[in-house]
Amino acid sequence: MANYSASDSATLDRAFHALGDATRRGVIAQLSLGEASIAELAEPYDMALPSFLQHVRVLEKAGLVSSRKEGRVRHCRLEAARLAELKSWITQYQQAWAARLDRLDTFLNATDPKKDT
Amino acid sequence: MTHQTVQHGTATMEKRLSASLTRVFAAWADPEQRKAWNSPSAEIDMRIDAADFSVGGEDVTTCLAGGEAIAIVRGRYHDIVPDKRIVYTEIIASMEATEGACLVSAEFLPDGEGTRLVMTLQTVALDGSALLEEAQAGWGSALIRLEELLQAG
Repeated sequence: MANYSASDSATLDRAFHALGDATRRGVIAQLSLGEASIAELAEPYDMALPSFLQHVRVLEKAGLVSSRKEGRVRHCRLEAARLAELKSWITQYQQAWAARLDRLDTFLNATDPKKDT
Repeated sequence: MTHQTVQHGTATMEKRLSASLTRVFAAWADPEQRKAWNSPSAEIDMRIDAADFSVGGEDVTTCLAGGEAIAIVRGRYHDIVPDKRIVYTEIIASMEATEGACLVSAEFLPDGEGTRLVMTLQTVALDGSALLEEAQAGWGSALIRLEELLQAG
């Protein structure tokens, strides 16, 4: 498993951004069951194909999904190692800190003595 | 998954806060305030067993999920400069093993009327962290956990 260092934090951000969308998480969940074609992946969604392809492209850029063409059909598969990296202890610890800082902001705003609320 | 894991990571993160330096620093220094925001997740309550915000002082916090202790965090302060910076180490242990440790540097910088908080996390994940990863059997639970993380973020 690759070490997460500050130099690839942009890559990590891309991966978390990629997962910050219900459609894309749905694609990941479906691919966790095995390879699937674009058409199979798109089927559950009420969405124009170009829009759906955009989602797949975001997942590919984040390194979470790879695809290959066989004849006229594009097959996608999950990059499990990349996903495993995202659930590594260090990544989770760092994500927990990011969430803490958001809560710190909320807490400070809620207890602001300058506000009447 | 090996039980002989030692992994290192360094991350920096910045947060712009509208509160003043003094209020932000107090939210770290005062254990009662810290308790309000410092939990790693919305489902986890913090119980403060010891709090000594001084150089060399120790904090001991137990993480509770549904009233049950799931982890103990021991913090040791190494450098405290009021309204400027806090440097401390945090040792995170589950009930079975030490999961990891982190050197946390928090720098408080003035930013207009607010504060720019710059965090540097130098982390090592130890053998115990593999137990946690193993506990999340299957992609299903990993995705659920990831989703919780994303919502929390």
